[in-house]
Amino acid sequence: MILECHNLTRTFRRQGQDFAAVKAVDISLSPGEFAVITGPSGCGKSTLFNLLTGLLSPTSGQILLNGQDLSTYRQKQWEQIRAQEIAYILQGHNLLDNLTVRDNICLPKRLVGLGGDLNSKAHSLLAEFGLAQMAEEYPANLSFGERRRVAIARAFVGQPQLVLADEPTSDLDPVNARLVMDFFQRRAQEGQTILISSHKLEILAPELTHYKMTAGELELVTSQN
Amino acid sequence: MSQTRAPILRLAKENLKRRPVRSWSMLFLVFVLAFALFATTVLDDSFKGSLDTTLARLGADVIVVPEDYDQELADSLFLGSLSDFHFERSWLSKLDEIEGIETYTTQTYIATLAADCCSAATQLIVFDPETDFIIKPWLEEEGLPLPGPGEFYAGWQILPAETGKITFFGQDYRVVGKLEKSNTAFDTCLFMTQDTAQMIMDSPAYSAAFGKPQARAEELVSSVMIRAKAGADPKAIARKINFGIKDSPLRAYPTLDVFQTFEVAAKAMNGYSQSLMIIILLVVILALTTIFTLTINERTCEFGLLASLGVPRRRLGAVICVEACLLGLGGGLLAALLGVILLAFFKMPLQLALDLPRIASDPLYLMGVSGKSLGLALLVAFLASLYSAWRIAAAEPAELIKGAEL
Repeated sequence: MILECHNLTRTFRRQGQDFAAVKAVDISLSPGEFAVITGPSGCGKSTLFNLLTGLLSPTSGQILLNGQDLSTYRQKQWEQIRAQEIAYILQGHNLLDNLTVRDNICLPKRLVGLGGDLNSKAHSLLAEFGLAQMAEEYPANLSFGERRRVAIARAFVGQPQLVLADEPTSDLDPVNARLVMDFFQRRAQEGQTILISSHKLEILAPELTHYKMTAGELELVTSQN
Repeated sequence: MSQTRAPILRLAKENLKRRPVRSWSMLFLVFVLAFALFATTVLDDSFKGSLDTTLARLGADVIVVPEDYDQELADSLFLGSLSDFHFERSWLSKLDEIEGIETYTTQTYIATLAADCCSAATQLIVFDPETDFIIKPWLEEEGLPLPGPGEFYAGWQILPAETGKITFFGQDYRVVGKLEKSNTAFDTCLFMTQDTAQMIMDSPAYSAAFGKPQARAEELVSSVMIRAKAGADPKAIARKINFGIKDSPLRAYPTLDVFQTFEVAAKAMNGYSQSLMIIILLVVILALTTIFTLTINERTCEFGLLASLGVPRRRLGAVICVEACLLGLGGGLLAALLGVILLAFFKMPLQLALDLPRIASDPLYLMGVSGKSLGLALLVAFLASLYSAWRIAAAEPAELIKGAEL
């Protein structure tokens, strides 16, 4: 297994009472698995993703990446995980407005010390998304769908083991949504593990692993394996 | 870390470039601070420097002038204002009786007119070659012979209309040389011996302007410059002259006391400058820190995004500090550039407008002042960013992503 969670829980204090945004979640993903978590807005998907990427600390439970327990990792260790092992595509508009498309893809990786020919990789990914000619444009000149595709390209430039994408197809038209899902499918087939969230059921396909999240609790519906 | 320095710099530059209003506003604050330091330093140093060089050039420990003319003498020597006061030479014999005097020399001042008779309103200084220890060594330093009858040496800033010729009171005289720049009022004077002075006083135009002279040039003295013996106290010599010579129309002053008004003014100017600098410094640091804090709170999502991509938080803080240093560098450089350009092209009008004897503008000196201003600009900008950098580095990434206020 590349990713495993056991009894993962995160509580917040809300209006003077403890509120469990994520309750005793168990999840496990194999290399090359493409999984989708569906659920209504506010059910805890984003909080779960924040836990799995170390942006939030769990109240209790375990997170294992390639068998390594990450639950007690400090921020500095999680920074390395996010830089090298796990890529996280945030919900919504998540490009840096002051950088060109190319710099949006390459500069964050350079900031974490990743070397190599990032420009070629960026160009290749942009070409795959039909955005090669947009490399020197700024996000303000891109459509919403184009910006989302650039954010996805950025996630894959470092060739991470695991990619988490929070609502990657929300606010996209069906054509762009299909483009994105096909891209994820191709990458999964190449061995990368993909976990996405969505509140839209129409993106589900039989070959995907499907989890359903309701009020912080996760249920496996169908498994790819 | 060296692999990430260039990307941090690149990100900082792009952040500043794409937000020109914000960037230029903050740069302007730094510019004001740096320029204030540049200007106050040059003005303070110019004033103090003029005083120091004037005292050094005089080389005299005690100065004797007619009573109540000490301020006029100081204005003449320091500010270059025109003087024309005299006393009779016969009083000099009394100085020979004063203990502690090694040597003394006389100077006589003649002021020309800004009128048809003269090339310009200029201060003429008559010196005695036999006893002089101010002008003569200066000529000897430059390998120049003493001026003959009808000849002048010009101070550095004097420019005769026709090369080598100058007209005073309807008669032409020769300018046989120009002295090196001294950064004192001597730069605006002409130097001659008594023979030339007599020629001027004998001219009809001089008599028409000032009346027929009552004495010959050699009998008139404006000031006596006294050099004290080693170990002798100039104050004691001055006291002896003031109280030891009966019915004397003269007054003796230790040289430093003659310029006391300017010393006091220099200290006051320095005090005001420092107070002004402290006020500007505090205001700019406060303003910059506030602006950084406000703008960082608008940018938490941006930093949250970078954190989600694995960028270490200390590097996020470093981006803010580098942005600040770039602003400091820009503001400091602009301030230094403006200061140098103003001095290069508007030095004389500034000198006149500010009523300064002279303004320091030596290239090496200006480089030093520019460096000081730039250093302060960088330091202040960096310090102003530290709080914001720390807040970003200390914040939880999830809170940054949500855009929470720091």
